[in-house]
Amino acid sequence: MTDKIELRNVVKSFGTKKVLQGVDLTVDRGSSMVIIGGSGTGKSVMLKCVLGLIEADNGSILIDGAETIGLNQRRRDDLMRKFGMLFQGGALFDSLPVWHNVAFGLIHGKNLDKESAKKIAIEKLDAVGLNKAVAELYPAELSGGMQKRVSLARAIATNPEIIFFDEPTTGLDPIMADVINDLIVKCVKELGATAMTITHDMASARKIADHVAMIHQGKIIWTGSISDLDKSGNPYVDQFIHGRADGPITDTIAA
Amino acid sequence: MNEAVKKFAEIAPPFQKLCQAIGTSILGMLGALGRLSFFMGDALRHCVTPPFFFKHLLRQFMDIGYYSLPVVGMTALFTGMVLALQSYTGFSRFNAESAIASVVVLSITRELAPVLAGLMVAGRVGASIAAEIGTMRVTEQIDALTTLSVSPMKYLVVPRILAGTIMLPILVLIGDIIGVYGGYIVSTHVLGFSSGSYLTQTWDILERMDVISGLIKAAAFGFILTLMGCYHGYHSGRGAQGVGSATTNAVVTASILILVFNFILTQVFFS
Repeated sequence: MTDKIELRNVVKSFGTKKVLQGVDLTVDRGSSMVIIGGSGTGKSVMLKCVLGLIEADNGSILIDGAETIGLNQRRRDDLMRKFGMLFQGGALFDSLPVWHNVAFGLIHGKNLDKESAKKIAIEKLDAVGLNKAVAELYPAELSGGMQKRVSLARAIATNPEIIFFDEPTTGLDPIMADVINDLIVKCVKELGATAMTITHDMASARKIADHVAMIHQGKIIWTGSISDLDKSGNPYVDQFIHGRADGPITDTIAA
Repeated sequence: MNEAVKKFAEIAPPFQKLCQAIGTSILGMLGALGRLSFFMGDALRHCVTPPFFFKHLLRQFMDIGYYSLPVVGMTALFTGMVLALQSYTGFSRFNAESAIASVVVLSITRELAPVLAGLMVAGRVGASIAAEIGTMRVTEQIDALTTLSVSPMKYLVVPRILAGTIMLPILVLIGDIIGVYGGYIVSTHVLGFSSGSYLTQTWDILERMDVISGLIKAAAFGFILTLMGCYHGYHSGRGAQGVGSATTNAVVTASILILVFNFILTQVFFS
């Protein structure tokens, strides 16, 4: 079995600031990987490198065993059809109604006609617990939790093989956060997709993850299955999962 | 000798700082120019390769063209009127009132309609493009487009640039007519010209090239102002402040470039 996603020595700097300093990570097909780490440690940048939104300076990123760094635009567009992404802020298109947001990838990426795309969109909205009436509203008319749900529906609309979640529970109340966690687990299981989530919400991580990787100062410093998280023996991981102010991770405050 | 070295050591650090500052700003400018060139090349390439978003193009025709009509129309009308009044006060001193019609029509078609329409639309449309695309950048909507296999260049940038380049000449043509009409109203109703002779003079002096050069200028200005709006919005910084300065930069650079290219194009057409 080949790995679904494999990062080898990925390096990325912005100016003199080295954000990723040689990231190595593999995600098995059909498993759910959660990346934890403090703010500004390079989690989002790593995700965006895999998506090709940011070009890595060095290293290699393999999807299904094929190199993706340096792909031309058309190849990149084709590759993107494998992906679904839930953005931190939702990133819904505010000029389009909810159903069109969800159907966007179907209409433009997969060239479906509007009628059938809308039907699928309404089914997907139903799967995330939103009824038909919501479909005609605009994103600005929805609450934060509902926007996250719509965003989730959009991420799974095209039945992608790989789904990325960028801090899916940030900014939600604990109950809504748990609802979103449940929906993520359900959707990923139903699709049989490979999932990669970045978060610093440990409750969320414990619920979603099969495997956990911790990123610190642009490097993966620990990976293991979720059951090993509490006995990692790694002081950085221990400090992070227990949310202690003192420990080896101190520079995050300075940075 | 020692004196000289000492003196040099004294003035060297500030001098070095000055050179550094000049160097940094020049490098920054060249870098921005390079990024803009790449952006423009990219946009032009996407203009001619499928898929095309025709519906978006139509909507931009409405937004950039139709809804700018009142602004351009009012600008042209009052400019034509003022032009007639001002040239009358000047020309009446040496009994050259008959030249008013030609002054109005030539200034409007060659210069004022394209430049003023360009500047007005840069303020109206360039700013809104930069703010809209900038907000989309800040809220990750542009990244979302990419992950949904839709090129943001094709979906956002190309329709706006095409609409600007096509609609501005049409706006300016309408502005030409309204501007000349403004001059006509003032000349006949305020200054007491006969309407027949005013129109004959207007028609006699006007050559095809006057109008065409104005329309070509308008197309160039439409391209410039939409390109600037898209470019600055697309590369907008973070947060509200980023979008704010993107909008300002879009309008300022578009306005200045319009004036610069107006000079260059005039030089090309009429020298």
